[in-house]
Amino acid sequence: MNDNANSRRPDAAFADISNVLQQIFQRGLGLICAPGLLSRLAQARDHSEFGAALQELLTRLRAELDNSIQQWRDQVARLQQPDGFLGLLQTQLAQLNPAALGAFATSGFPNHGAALPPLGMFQDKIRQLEAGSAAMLGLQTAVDDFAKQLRRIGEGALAELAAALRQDSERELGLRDLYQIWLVANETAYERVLGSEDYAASLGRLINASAELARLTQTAVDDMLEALKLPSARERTAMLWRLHQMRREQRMTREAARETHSLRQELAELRAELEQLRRAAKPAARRARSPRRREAGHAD
Amino acid sequence: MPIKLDPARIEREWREFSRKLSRLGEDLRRQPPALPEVSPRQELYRDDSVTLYHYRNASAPTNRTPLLVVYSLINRPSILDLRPDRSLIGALRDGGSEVYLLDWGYPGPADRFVTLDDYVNVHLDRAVREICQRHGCPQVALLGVCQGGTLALCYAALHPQRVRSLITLVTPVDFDAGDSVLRKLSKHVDFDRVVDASGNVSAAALNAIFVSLKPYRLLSQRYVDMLDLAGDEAALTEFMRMERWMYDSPDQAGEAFRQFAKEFYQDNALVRGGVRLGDQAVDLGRLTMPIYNVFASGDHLIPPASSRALGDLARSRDYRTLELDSGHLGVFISGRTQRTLFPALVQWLRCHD
Repeated sequence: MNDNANSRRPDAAFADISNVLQQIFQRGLGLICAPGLLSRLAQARDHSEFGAALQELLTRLRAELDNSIQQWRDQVARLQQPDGFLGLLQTQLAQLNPAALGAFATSGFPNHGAALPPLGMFQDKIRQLEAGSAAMLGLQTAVDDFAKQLRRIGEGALAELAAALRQDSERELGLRDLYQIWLVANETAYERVLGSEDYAASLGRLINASAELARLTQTAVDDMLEALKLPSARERTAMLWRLHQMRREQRMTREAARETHSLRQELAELRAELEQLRRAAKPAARRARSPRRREAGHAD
Repeated sequence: MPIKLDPARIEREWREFSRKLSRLGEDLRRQPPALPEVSPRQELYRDDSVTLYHYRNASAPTNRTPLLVVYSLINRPSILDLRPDRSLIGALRDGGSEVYLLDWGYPGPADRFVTLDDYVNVHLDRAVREICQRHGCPQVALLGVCQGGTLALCYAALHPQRVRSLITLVTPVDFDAGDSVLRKLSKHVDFDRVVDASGNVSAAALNAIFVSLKPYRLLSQRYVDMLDLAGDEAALTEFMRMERWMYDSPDQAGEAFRQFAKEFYQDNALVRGGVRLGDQAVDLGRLTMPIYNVFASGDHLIPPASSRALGDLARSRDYRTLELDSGHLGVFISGRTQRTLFPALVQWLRCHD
């Protein structure tokens, strides 16, 4: 399943950690419930036979653990194959080396090209490829580092399982009981590791290395697309940024229009109110003026 | 001997397992593909990915202040209205509030540059003003859930005049407090690198992180237990509702995610000071409105200590807390927890109307 297109993607190692843990868990469960191993444990006549059967179970489980972790690491290693991501990078690097040094190298001179800084007309490209190559190696280191955490969890779970199987002596166990024992063993071991500073640092390195490789790969793909006059993610991002700015401006315009509308409404209301006040004031003023006029008339 | 196995029982269990599995397959095929929210609602407007909903009341609301519910950006708010007898929205509506929900939706590629400032000062503010205008009132009651509570706190601190009362439900405040695994895991991640590489942060990546907190329970035991639901259609429907909700996760707008992860989780800037939305600093000391802070004692995502820290930061003279005996999800799905939570919220809203 993981062997084809997906495993050649540079960010394939940013595999869902839960799935790796799940795979380890399921394979272990398959072994624990396998009839042969189970019956040997159950049929042990003394502590020595039981110890041997338990040891065999643990050995088989450990082998499965190794196998699962190795498969995960292999996904990254595949990127280095000639048709993998790193393989392609290295091929390109070799082709971009200044020709003069290449000629010396083929004439039996020691090749010091790798120690030189990028030279020639493709120096930017060489720098980019070197960064990609470094990111790939960074990811591999992070995967190896995280594999140690997976092993810690796995070994912890085996120790918990062994302790639980040694303890449960009173009652007869069924399938569901065995499942529960394995579940609790894994959970206990996992939670112990999950809470540690080591685990957080290791997971952080894995995520960062995956992100860096994905970023550099995207840059390389974008360069290629742009050379072919095809739309690239870079252009799309620039367009999205402009779109975002336009949406903000549009909202501000809409907001300003709404405010203008509400101000106009308020103004119209105030005008109407003022008009009403004026109308109300006129008769009163007339009434107020009339007696004066009358008084003035009398005076005349 | 240390362990004893019962071969007859094991064989019985295998047979039972196969029978239930086959029955479950048939039952699952009969399940409807999607289940709508249960409470009737009306879309008031849609602005990019954000929608404001109004929930229709069967009878006239008794509270004068409308209530706006603000959910997290991480999951979908459908958890608040999963079924009639377990609906937070329904309980609040039936308790006398005029309920609105701000649904952040599913950010698409065009939302990559949406920031927390946009979410709080543009979208949340627009929703509040819209509701105030509809009701001819100057303020709303805000109920923020989980990360939505943090956004509601920011809004209330920036626009206190618009918030009559504030409820925070399982809301992270002090990201350093308690033994937060999420905080621990986030410490070493270079979020600039992640967002620069990915743009929007995919829901699948976030789900992987959340599932990795309890991988064995969520990816194995949950489905093994599901076998026991074979033949019980109602329980299976319930299971499937949760199942769909758990993985119905939106992508995260890149810039908003970057800011939340770096400033809130890594720098704990909401507590230490330094969160700026737009050109304003968020100061929780400006929270003087009545506050009801609800958290869960067994919350593995938001440690209670993280929520409890609000009490020391807000200057509200009317500050109350409610500690529920449950985990994070239990607040939304456990009948026992809800029998305490729903009446408490309804009562508090009534008293602070």
